[in-house]
Amino acid sequence: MKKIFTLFLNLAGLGIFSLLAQENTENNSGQITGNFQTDAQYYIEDQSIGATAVKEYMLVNSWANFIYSNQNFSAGFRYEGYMNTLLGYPNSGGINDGIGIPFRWAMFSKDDLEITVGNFYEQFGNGLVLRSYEEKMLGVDNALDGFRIKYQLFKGINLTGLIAKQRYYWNHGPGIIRGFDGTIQINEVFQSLEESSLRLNIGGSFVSKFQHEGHPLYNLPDNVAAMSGRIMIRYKNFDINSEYAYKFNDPSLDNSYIFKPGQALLINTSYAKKGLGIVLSTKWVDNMAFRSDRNASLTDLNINQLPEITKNHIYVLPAFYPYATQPNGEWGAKAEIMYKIPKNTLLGGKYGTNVSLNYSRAHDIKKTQINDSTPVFPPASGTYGYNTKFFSIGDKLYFQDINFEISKKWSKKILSNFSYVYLIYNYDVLRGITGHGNVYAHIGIVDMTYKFENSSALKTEIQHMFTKQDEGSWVLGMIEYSLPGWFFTVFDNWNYGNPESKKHYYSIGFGHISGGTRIQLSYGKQRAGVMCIGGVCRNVPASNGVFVSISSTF
Amino acid sequence: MKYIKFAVISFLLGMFATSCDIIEEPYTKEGVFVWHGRKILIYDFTGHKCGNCPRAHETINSLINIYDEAVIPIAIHCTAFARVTGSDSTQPYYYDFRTDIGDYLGGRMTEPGYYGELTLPIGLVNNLAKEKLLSHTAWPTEVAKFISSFPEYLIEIQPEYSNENDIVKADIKVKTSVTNSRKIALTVFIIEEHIINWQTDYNKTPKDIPNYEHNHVLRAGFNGAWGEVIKNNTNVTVLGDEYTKSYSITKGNDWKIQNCFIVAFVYDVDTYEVLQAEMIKVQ
Amino acid sequence: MNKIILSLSLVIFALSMFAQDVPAVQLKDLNGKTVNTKSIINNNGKPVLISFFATWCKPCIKELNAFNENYDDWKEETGVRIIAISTDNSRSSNSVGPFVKSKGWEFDVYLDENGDFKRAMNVGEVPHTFLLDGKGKIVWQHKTYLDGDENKTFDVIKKVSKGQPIK
Repeated sequence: MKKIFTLFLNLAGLGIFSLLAQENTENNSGQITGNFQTDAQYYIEDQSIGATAVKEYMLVNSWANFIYSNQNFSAGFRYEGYMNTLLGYPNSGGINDGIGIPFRWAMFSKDDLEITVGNFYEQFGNGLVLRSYEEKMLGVDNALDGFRIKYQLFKGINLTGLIAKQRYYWNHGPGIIRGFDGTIQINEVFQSLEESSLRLNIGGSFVSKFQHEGHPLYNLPDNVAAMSGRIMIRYKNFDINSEYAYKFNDPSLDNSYIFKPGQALLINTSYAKKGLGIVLSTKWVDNMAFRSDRNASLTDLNINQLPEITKNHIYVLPAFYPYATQPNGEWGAKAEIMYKIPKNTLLGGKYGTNVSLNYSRAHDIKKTQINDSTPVFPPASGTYGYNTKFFSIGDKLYFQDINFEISKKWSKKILSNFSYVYLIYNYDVLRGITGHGNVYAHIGIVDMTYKFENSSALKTEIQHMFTKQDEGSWVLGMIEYSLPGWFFTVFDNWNYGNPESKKHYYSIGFGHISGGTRIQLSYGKQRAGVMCIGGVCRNVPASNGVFVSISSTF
Repeated sequence: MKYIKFAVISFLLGMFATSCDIIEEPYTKEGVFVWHGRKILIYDFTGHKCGNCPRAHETINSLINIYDEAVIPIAIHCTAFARVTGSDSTQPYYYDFRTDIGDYLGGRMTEPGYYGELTLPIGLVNNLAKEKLLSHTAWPTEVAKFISSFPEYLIEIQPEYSNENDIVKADIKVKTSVTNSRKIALTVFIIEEHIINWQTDYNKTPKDIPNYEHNHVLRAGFNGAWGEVIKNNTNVTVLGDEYTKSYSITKGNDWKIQNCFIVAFVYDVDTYEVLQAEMIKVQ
Repeated sequence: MNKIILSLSLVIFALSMFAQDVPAVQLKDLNGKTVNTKSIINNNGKPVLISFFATWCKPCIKELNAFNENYDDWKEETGVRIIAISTDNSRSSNSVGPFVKSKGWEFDVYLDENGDFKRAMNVGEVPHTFLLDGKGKIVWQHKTYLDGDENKTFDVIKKVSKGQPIK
């Protein structure tokens, strides 16, 4: 493997030089671009926070992308190396450890046609029936590997067809995925409507997976299809974007091998004008987990992605209790108002003030027994499962988030951001356990930046979370000093409300940025927690040690 | 160009035409199978504090319902889910199900074992290779793959237990039934059925079950986690060739010997495939 | 291993000698219309600043606010055009329009919902900013945002608009 790789690199190097030589005589001889990142952590044991050391002392995740493109043709690959995988990334049985080129592709596009061979990412509509993506920070990469054709039938009508297997760490999942998607942009199709203030897009997707199993107990469907239809209507400042998805019988580990079909509905509406944005969203999901291996779990082999509609919190403390879509049944709603108080008013001040209010809530759905002898919970494998009415809302609260944010610029030098968040987090449902109960948390955040004349700045953050549940209350203080190309941070996250032992999680670090390159070094402690991005979450174990990250785009 | 357009559109519509199988009731089928005597080994990595692990135990029970003695499960308590609260037997989860072999294979607390960081429940069906770890819903299909094949070996176990010195003895005879030139190893464990103790079950309210029945619990190994190589791949074995081994261990204080079984299995050292397994009651 | 390092450095050295084009990728504008990246980077021979952001990313918002405050002055002096690319996925991509409007940002915003443009431009994390010269070649890039970075960005835009070397 190593030999082949070295050979490959040498060839690549030679190729580039020959291209360079060509460039002297002729333009448009193609280009190579790429990026790489390496994250390394040296682990130190700290029993007080439950952090462990590792036998290797240090673990390293790294990857590099290379893309060659020349007019209508482009190709690329990603080299990845996990020696060994950083703690907290999906790596059951060491499945993610190793080095290799799991991602390579070539693409040809001309006029109305685009053909991809090898690995690719794709999203149909909002992703309810198909979304293939990567999220390196989460260790998610469900890249497809196969063939894809995109074709523009007429102006405004786009078709996509694909057939592929899905990446499963260094291998492929057992299922074959076939997908078709069509979108029609009405205003593009009919020239007369091009300038209309009413805009209309419609689309539909069909995805089918094949997985054969000689299951001794159940008559399993080898082919499972899911389909969806979507519509986008925009009139002046109003916008409605909706998608409905249906999945045929798909017994799986996710739904405990029940044969009921699944459904999902997503509606986003908004109103926007200068200085004001209002968003209202709702969704309803029942039995919509869809994977290319029915026995897969956690972040593995998802074909679709059911988006959350709750706010994605980035400040450390509110991100302690993140929401994740419950594919086995969930109703959710969101209302968000974003407003800019105009300049030169009492509250707006010289620069105007941004305020936003966001409310979201998620519940279970109502499920009823199919007959007297079959309980809804625990799910009865090998049956239809349960009945449910479309868009029914259950009594059990999964999550609630009320948050309010004010960003104000006081002068050229002083910027500030104030937030208040109130969360109700159903710990049992969202962490897949029982007996813990809800967490109620009030969080206040003050974020101030002072800019000096010479482009340097001092940024401070104070966050406080009050809660009686889980690990109790926390307070966090952070100071960051930056000057062009450099930053230095110190922070301490103090779990002063912990009934067992009050713990400090401190960290110091600095970084250097130069163009497309960034180097970061820090030492500190990280608490055990849950990290969620894009509908999937992973447990992050507590750690203590030195962290180095280098990334560059070239 | 016209042909290309035609081909492209046919390809796209082909994706559309791919079928979907709609299953009508009954969803279940009779577990009918042809059997030539091959027995299937299952490692069930589990823990008494693991609230989803009873799902795997249920899968094993449904397999025993169909295949009866043809499946030989071994419950291996490991990882932080097997931690104990202390030695006070009035407290929940005081009982220590862990073994040296379980710690080595599955890991103890946060220290990973041979199989790396495990997310429980997870298991191995008739193959001990790292990359063959499977979630429990995949076990039935995996058992079905092996169950109807001919066993390459037959195993006879002659158990012996002496009350006087608490020594459990196992005389094992491995007989070749299909000529082959594999490198094989013999592993011998002792397991115990019907241990009544605490278990977490997220499908139950309350989740802590004081009188859960723990079955097929690994107690100890006679010859380590990987057993002993009894034949190398440099020589061929033919029908009727026999290998005999004798092992003994001392019974643990808390084992009920009347519920104990000896499990012996042979596996291919190169492919990790388990070729045959056998189980017999100690007394 | 040494051979690999040698080969790798060979490749990277060779790469650093190119001025790069912007890849052709499909994006969506805030009206839901599909547009090609090639068609949006045209600015009549004047520089174009492309900034990758996400609505949940605090430094991104700070950076774009800073750009927006200076946009009129910058346009007047250099003719630069700013384009913001939202990498929000379907969790928040439907809120990007209202979000941008409420901030009062004056520049064009496009959606890159599944990260196709982001990958094609080799962007790892946001914010990440690229500057194109009048011919549409990528001549400068900058990762992350630290307060005050907009001053440096403007210096570079001025040089590029005058056709001066950046360093």
